[in-house]
Amino acid sequence: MSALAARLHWSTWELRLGTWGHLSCLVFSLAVAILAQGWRVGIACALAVALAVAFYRGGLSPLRRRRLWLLLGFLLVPSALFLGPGDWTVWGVTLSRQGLAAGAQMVLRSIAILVAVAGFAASVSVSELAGLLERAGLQGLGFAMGVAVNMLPTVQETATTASHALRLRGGFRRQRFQAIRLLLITVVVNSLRHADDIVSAAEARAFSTTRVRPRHIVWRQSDVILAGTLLAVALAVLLA
Amino acid sequence: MRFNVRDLVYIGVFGALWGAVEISLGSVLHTLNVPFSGVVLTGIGIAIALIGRLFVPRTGSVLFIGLVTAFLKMFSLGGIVINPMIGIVAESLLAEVALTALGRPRRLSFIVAGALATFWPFVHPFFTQGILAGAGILTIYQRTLTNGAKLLGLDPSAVVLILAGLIVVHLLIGSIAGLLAWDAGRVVQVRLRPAPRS
Repeated sequence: MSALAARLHWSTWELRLGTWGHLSCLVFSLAVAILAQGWRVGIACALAVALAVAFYRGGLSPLRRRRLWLLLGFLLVPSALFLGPGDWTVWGVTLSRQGLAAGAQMVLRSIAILVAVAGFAASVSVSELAGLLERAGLQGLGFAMGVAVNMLPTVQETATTASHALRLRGGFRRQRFQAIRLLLITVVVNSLRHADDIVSAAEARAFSTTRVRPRHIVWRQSDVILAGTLLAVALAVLLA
Repeated sequence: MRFNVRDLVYIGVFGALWGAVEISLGSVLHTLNVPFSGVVLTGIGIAIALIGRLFVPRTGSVLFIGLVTAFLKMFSLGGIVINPMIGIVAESLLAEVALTALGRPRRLSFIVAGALATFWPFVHPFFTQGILAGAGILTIYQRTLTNGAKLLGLDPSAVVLILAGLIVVHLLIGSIAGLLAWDAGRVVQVRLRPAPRS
């Protein structure tokens, strides 16, 4: 952190939102960025970045990647060269003002969407996200994700052991496709045998997906105020 | 979509299998710059998800497996990997649509589901860049292809042939993945069947 930022206690300026507040910011940023046209795209981008600065600084991290700026350059340069009639010459290269404007809109829209999505993913935990999706009708997703996270090391170990065993028997040198098929079958069979143990353990504890309450979602009063404010701002930007 | 405990555990396992492939094999293929690494990775992943459909033969199971895998992908690189997550969810959704439309699991539905899922990596760059950049990106691609063909002295129709060839390759890899999933899945079912009492 720079000396100035440390003096201003920059990290403590980030305001706190609940899960619904972060979701409101994401929906607002996406809606305004996708629906806005012309000069409004610039406002949409500015608002998305402002929300990131205020509530989720993690959303600004994609802007530090060189690869992103190369991609944005790919959006801007061909637009200026190929979209619209060439009516502007810069250093001997004929550009189109119309194309440049269109390219700039694409760049700003991309930045707004990336900042919003990155900020949401950085601010909302996986369990809160699972809770949101469960409330949307995908019941049991959180439990399945928990099983997957716990099974991942077992699956990787099984795959490693099986591939070593196959390689020792010369499996990958001849009939490579058959060897891959055999590896897949072995790993799946062993993983499903572990799965049966998990099912038995869950049923022994009378676990049932119908009796489980949806995961707790963080909900603050500020989320309601923010959601209302963002709705008003979105309508003002899009309908102005 | 309602699943019982056994279904959810199996979905979690197949999500872990697909996730393990994405995490380990994905980085290796991309590092080695293997041609068509994206579609090969998709083929292997969707084959695993389709095997999962044999064990959870309910509508939505392949989509659930894809969602679980997408969340596991978030842990893989220590950062936010939106593009692969969109790809995994889209591939599983396309496969789910094909399986649901074609009725009970069978070889043809698996082949069609695999082909449809592996068609997505071809469409993915246009989709994500179209969302990010708006409709103008299509005009850019069209003009870039036309001008590029002129620059290389190629007939612009050759570009269309190249694109058609790429689509055929994607569909072929997906069909093979679907076929592999059907055959391997049946073998797995036989292996897991309890041994008959003597």
